[in-house]
Amino acid sequence: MAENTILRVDSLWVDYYTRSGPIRVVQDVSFEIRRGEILGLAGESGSGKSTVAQAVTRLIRPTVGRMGGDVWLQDENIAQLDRKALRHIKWKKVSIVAQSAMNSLNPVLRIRSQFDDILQSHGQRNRQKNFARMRELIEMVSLSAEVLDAFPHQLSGGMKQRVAIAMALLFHPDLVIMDEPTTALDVIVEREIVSEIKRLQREFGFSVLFISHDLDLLLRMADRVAIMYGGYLMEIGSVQEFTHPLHPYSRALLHSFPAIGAVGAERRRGIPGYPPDPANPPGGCRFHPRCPHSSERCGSDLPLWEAVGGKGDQRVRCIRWREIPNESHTGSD
Amino acid sequence: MRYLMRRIIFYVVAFVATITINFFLPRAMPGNPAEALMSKFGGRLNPLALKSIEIAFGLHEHEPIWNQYLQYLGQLLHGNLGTSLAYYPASVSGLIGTALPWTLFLVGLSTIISFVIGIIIGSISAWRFGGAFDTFMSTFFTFTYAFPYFWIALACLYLIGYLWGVFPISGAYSMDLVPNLSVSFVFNVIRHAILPSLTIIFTSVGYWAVNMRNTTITTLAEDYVTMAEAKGITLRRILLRYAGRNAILPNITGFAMSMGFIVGGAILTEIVFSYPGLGNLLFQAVQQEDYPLIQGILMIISFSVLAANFVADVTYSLLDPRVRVGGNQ
Repeated sequence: MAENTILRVDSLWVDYYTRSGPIRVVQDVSFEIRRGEILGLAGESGSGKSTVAQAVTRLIRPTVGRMGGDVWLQDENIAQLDRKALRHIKWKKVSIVAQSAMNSLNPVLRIRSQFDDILQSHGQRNRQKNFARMRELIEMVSLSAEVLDAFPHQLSGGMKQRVAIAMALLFHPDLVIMDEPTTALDVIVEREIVSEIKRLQREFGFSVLFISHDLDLLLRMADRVAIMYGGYLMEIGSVQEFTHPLHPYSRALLHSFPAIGAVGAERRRGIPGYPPDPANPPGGCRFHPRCPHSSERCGSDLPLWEAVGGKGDQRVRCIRWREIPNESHTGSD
Repeated sequence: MRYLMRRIIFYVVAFVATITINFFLPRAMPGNPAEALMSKFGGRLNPLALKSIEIAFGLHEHEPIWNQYLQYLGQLLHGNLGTSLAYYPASVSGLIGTALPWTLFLVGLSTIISFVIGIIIGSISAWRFGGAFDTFMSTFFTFTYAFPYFWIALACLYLIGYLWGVFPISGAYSMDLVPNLSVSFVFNVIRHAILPSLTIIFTSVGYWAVNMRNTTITTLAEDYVTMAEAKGITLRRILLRYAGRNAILPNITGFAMSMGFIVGGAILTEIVFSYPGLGNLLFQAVQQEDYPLIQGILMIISFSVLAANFVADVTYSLLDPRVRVGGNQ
């Protein structure tokens, strides 16, 4: 593995058990995150992006589903570790800020006891030192130390999300996974939190896997972006490369967001049709039934995860990407 | 503390309402205790006897009902619940005083044991959701909970008590013993309590287990439990402080409710095993139309239900900070 690679996911797949048997919700997902980089992972609801986050941290319970493939966190394969070894890595090397911080804190414990639970579980029992560390973290995310004595229900949504970020940074992890950390917040608080994350990330140099359905937000804050659809990664590349994406789905996604500074009633193009049903996915490329460029082969051949090259290690999963005429995403033809 | 004050005021009002209803309810019934006694003799008594019984019971003076009510309240304040008709001249408070400890001991202890076992098994089931243990336990407990109590009680009484003679079949202690605090007497009491206690536990443990299993399964799906796993928190801590602590909350209310009804006694249990508790006493009182005794027991029952609910409120507010609305912050 390259020196500056923090996370390398290789051929990851995940099944969820249902009454009618297991269904594949993530398939053949491979990507890398470099040291100090923010990788944005975008996709519609149900595309499998949160499942990727859970698989990378081995949070898929054996009663709920199963996973395969390799998840290399530096020199350890998380997918193969036993429970005990896994528990010691968790939070020290990789931490998570969950989808809704509202529900990610235990409602019956004070914030400081929740910090304490993590510290004590990892063998840090010095009360004074622990408290000093909590104070330091809570002030780092621009909150006052009194928050430590509060119960979660006494804090606002933005405050809870800041607490969750502070907790995630407790052990200086190499990688922080942020699973839609701002989805439940209003736009103003969202902007504050995002700039807070960027500031902390610059200061401490951890890598971030930032999951969001808001591609526009990702293009503004991330270094590289990956697009997911129907359980597959469709395209990955640097933010610059995404000004001219190669995959028809990436283009369609870009066109479905209003351009910043757009004046008047500019018409956005939606994507016709609906996301695939994971229990009964279309054959070939998952996107072909909705794709304006689809050919007959798209419905039968599964496209490969093809390397395009470039400085963002651009890759695309489309058999026709070379043939499709390049167009700018900013136009509103 | 404001929360507690509000609750205390509520319970005082509720208790006054209870004793008021307790006063008016029997008086709204047709007839009176003297007539009930007369009818027992099936006309073999001279009608003049009715007059003398009424005088003996103090029913001849037709005092205004409000005066009676005030007198009743005054007597209650002095702990005087009147005189029993069936066990004349024993006082109602004396009879309750003898029966209450037996009920508290038998039904109280059984309920606590049943709750603790149920909570533990329910949690384990939920953690092994869908596994062999869970599948067996869920089915087994649904079965025991649906079991008709009287049937299992009679079957135990007949098989274990009568045929096999493992445990005594009736009473709280052997008739030839004088209650004292010696080891042999305590042992005798425990031997007598085992059979009725087992039947109570057998039929009620399923309720707690199934409830705890369901609330735990819901709690395990909560984000904060998944996040606790992501944080590498030890399994013991997750089980107790994250899953268990939250899953037990809804069960506290149910437990407190049943603690309140303990005083009412498991009437069936006490009748089947001739246990000298409050439930048995209430049954006798109803059969013999002993109004003062019925009234006294009902008052004790409603008082303990209210008290148990109050304890539940306090415990709940200690366990769940969200309930402490406008509390001591």
